[in-house]
Amino acid sequence: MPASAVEWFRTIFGAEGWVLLIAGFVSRFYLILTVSLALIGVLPLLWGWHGTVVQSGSMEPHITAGDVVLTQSLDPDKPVPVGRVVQFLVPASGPAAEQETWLHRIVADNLDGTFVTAGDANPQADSAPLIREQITGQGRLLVPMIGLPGLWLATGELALLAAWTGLSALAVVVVRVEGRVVAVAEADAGPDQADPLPDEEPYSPLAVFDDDAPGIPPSEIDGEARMRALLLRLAVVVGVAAILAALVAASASVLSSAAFTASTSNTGNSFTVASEWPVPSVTLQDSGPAVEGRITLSADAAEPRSGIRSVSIEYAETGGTVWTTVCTTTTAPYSCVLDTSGAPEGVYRGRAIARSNAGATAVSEEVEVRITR
Amino acid sequence: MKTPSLRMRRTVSLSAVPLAVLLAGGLVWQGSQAAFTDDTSNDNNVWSAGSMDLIDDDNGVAAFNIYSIVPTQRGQRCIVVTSYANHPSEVRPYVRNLTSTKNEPTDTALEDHLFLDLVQGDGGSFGDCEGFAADAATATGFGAAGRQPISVLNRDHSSFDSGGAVWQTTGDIQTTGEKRTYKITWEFDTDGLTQEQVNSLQKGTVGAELVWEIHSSDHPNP
Repeated sequence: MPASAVEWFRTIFGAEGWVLLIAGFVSRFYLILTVSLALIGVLPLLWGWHGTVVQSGSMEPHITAGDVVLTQSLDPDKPVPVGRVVQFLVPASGPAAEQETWLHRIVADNLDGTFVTAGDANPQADSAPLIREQITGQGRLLVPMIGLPGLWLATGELALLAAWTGLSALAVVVVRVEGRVVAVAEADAGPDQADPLPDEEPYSPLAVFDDDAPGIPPSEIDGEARMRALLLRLAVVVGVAAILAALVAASASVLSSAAFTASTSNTGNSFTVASEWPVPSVTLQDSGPAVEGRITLSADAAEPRSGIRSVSIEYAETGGTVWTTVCTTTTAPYSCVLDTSGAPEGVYRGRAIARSNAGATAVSEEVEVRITR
Repeated sequence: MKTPSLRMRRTVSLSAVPLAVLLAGGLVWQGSQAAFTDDTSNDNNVWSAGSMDLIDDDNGVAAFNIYSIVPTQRGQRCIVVTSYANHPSEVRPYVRNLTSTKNEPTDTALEDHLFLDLVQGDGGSFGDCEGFAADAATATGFGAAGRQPISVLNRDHSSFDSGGAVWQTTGDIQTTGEKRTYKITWEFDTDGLTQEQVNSLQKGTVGAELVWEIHSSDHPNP
């Protein structure tokens, strides 16, 4: 490989090359952005605001899942902010469910003092009206994306959480390596050449990750001091990691649902009851020319709409008006057994009375029953 | 090409700090401004990646316009509900907007004796339940399991929170939607009434709206 090519390679990929410089910038930028957003998300809690991680996207395009929304309790003297985004409690749906927190916009006020809420991305307003007492706060600050790790933890998307943790750790390592290169370069260059103001430490908010205190050649630090410095740095790194982990875990427990809702309905259903019940049809079967002993009287009855509740079979003497019930039966075939042995010979009349389930009754034509010996 | 100078390295390192802090502030300010200080952004034309819709196949026709019903009469109708949600969600049916007309004052209300039930399954359509196969593993009813008088449903189960048989959608099939057929059965049951009370129900009409509502179910999964 020609010397110029090696030189070119070192310029790009070497310890002092452009790639590490850019990677260091990107990593530092990312870490500070993350820390700044986290601070913005956490600090307002000190003066009583509430933070919540949005779980779903029904408030898109403005509020997306993983955003942290900071809300402020409603001033009791102020009216409910119609048109604004509020966080409110939704009663538990179902015996096993927990009470939910929703983040939706108030889109209208009802005449009865309640309010209509809707997710910006929902086609319809929420079905249940909102009362003032349900509101836990009005949206004030939206911190984008910073709740994503907590959301991943809560929803069990551990692969994403692990990937994010790994990338963040990589960013820390890159910043540290890049910081060390600068420190070594400064030490090599000497204080006069490297820094016109040698007393001033080059500022780096992540200096704790830099291996060497800037401006001091490594050889001047004795072993014990080095060890102390190393332990201190380790403690700081562990502490920062612990705080971040606690923030992630805490944010996983303050989820707010910007729930998607929609509905469809079937309207105009009606059931109208008949103005009168349909009359059953009923006939008593002819028992033949003459009967003796124990005979069976059978009737046919039908009412196709509500069905037959019961059929009674009766008889009376010719010319008489007193009807005697042979039996009342509720199941088809409708038949009764009549013992004629105790009755005098002669011609009798028989009939069947059917009653429908709806309660309508019908009486059959009379049939002659001729009893003989 | 030369390696970056020490001065340049420092400048680049330092510039990351204010730039990142400025961006963080800008993001929060811009996002808060858009979400919380604008009254009129309930703009439903903005359909975002997260979306949800629920439709049925009734084409605006009522499922039941049944005339001249008599005691013990029953009937059924199927309706196919399709969810277009890209989120795991829950669909629940419920009954609302009960209307009832009576001819004369009576203490017997038709809505107490008209029962509704619902079974979940697949197949069939609004016009015809032919091909419907019930899914025995899923819940039934517009409110509690099994049939209930329309009056009880309208009183106790007229919202999503108190709605009936849950259908859990996965949110995976967004283009074709997820379908579920509901077989609705009605029954005019006058058990326990005297004949006089039954007769007093004649010519009465009861109506109601059948609603299916979907909510994204984003409870954190344990």
